[in-house]
Amino acid sequence: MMARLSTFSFAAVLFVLELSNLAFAAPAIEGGGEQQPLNLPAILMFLAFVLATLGITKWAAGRARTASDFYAAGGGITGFQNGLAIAGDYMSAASFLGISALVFSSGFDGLIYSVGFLVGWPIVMFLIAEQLRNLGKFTFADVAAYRLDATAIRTLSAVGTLAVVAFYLIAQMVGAGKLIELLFGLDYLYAVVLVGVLMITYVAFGGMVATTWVQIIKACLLLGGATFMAFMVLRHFAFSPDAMFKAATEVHPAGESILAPGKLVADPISALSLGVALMFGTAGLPHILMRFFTVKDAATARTSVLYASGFIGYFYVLTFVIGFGAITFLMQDPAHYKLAADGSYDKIKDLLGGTNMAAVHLSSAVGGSLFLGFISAVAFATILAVVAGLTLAGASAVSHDLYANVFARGVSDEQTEVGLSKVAAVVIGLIAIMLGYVFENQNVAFMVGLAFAIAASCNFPVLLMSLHWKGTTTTGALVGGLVGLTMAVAMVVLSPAVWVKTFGFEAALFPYDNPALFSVPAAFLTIWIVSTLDRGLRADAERAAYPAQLVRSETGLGASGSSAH
Amino acid sequence: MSRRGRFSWFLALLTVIVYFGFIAIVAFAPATLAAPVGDGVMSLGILVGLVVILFSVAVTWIYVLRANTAFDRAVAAIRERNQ
Repeated sequence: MMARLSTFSFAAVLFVLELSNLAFAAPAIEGGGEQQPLNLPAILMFLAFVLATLGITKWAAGRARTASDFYAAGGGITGFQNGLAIAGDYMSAASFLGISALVFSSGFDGLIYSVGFLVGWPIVMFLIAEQLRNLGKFTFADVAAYRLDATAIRTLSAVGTLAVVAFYLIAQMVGAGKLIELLFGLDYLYAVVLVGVLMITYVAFGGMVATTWVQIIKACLLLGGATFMAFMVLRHFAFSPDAMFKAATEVHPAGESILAPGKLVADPISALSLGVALMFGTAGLPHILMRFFTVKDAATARTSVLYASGFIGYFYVLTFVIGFGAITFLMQDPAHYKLAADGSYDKIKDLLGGTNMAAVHLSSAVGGSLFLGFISAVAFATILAVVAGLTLAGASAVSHDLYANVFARGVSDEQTEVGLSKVAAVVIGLIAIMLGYVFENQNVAFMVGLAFAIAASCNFPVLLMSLHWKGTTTTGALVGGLVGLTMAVAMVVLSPAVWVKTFGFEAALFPYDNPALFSVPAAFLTIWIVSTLDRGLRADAERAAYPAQLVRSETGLGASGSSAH
Repeated sequence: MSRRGRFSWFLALLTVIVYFGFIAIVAFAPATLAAPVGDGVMSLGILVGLVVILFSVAVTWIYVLRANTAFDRAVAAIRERNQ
């Protein structure tokens, strides 16, 4: 089985993340290889997943009639289901393969990311979740534009949403193509087309109901598979984590230093900036925020965040165990490595398929080729679920925000809006396939980092300030959001990851890979300054409208309820 | 209402402090996290990281417990009056 992974040497790409650009060192793609032989158990299990989800899509298509059904599953999802679906949306292949790979190569440092990805959730809970549910209908722009000028704020939010979706999607598509090529032996182009067509099908035909169930199934598979792996690893050490850590320090080339902060945090500014992006980026991801409209009220929204953070926290503990398990199980077994002529190998760099394959190799080490097939299928399903969520968020921004409330000024009928949303899903899917193909051999690792940076610097400040500060005016939010967006994009373009590694310039004009430490405060400050200086009649009316908004956001009086299902 | 508002801002601030405290130690004093816990080899850093994960889930839980009971009863009372 491992021989199938062998000739191929690609490093990391996207799976490193959410990690990578956020990260301090973005690995580059190291070149291609020939097509791999077909991996039969993996393909059969994946086909079972696809058939099950397509069946659900067909069932969902029969029920999705109104706009509320399409965008928000009629508000009829329970807290537990939504918690699983949020976890499904959030636990990407990047988290699973990327973080376990990071633990595999540098130990403790992987935990810094795990913690960062989780701490965004309490923030979402305390400051955003229930207000979002009480004020909004389908998109977070509903909330940001509640008392502000719809045209300006919805356009800004839609741009923020589409920017996040675009960069996130490109990274996922390229990663999906590479991973599927490697695991299933399918040609890159076919792999990208397959992912694109499936996600279009889920979203365009099944809307939010199908997307939600795809997330739930995927979350269960991923949590189940990861639990089994972590269990097998711990059982090997008689359930003593200490024995596991000890064994890991004995075989890892870096020895005991893997239990302490390593070179990932050589630079304090980068560490803090990464922290800001991780913590506040989560609260600005449109496909995540959209999930709060699928439940019936604020109390259920809270419960779903609680379940989500429980599942996600548990999952990150598992990936940590899996990473250390990979160190102890794989590093002494040459079968997992590309050997030099004299039989020697580098315990990190020579892992077949790159370090991102650590969890995949471990699955075969603890569960044989059948379990390897299962984990491969789960990785594919994971990508599919995440891109479907992104596509739905993008399509909603186009139809609900840009079309229905900006171009048609709120006088369009529901059927036209939903129809347009389906068309938008198809178009976004086709564009994603095209971009996935175009970017095949580009270093796209920085793009997920960019998506998080934009979410934290544009979407989050606008949303938070319009919700919690009565002084926020349209002009303030618009200028502040644009400042955050522009700074995030400009600083990433000028950063080492893009300016030097992608464009090939000598030195980076902005020294850090992550802009959030600078762009997030800049956005907040600009919203505050411009709003304070804003003395127009409209600004006064907007400030005067705050108490009414506050009452509804805190009590849910007048909030859109769930349709009977 | 303002009681819930204060409570959520307090917890949000607490989360920010705990997390950036963790990041600050990682960034400025990584050596302190390398020390082993007790007799074992597990480092203090791993323990602290796991505690921050548990903390995040725990504060979320505490908030839901309070918000979905005491605060929501107050909200329900307000909604009654407005009907």
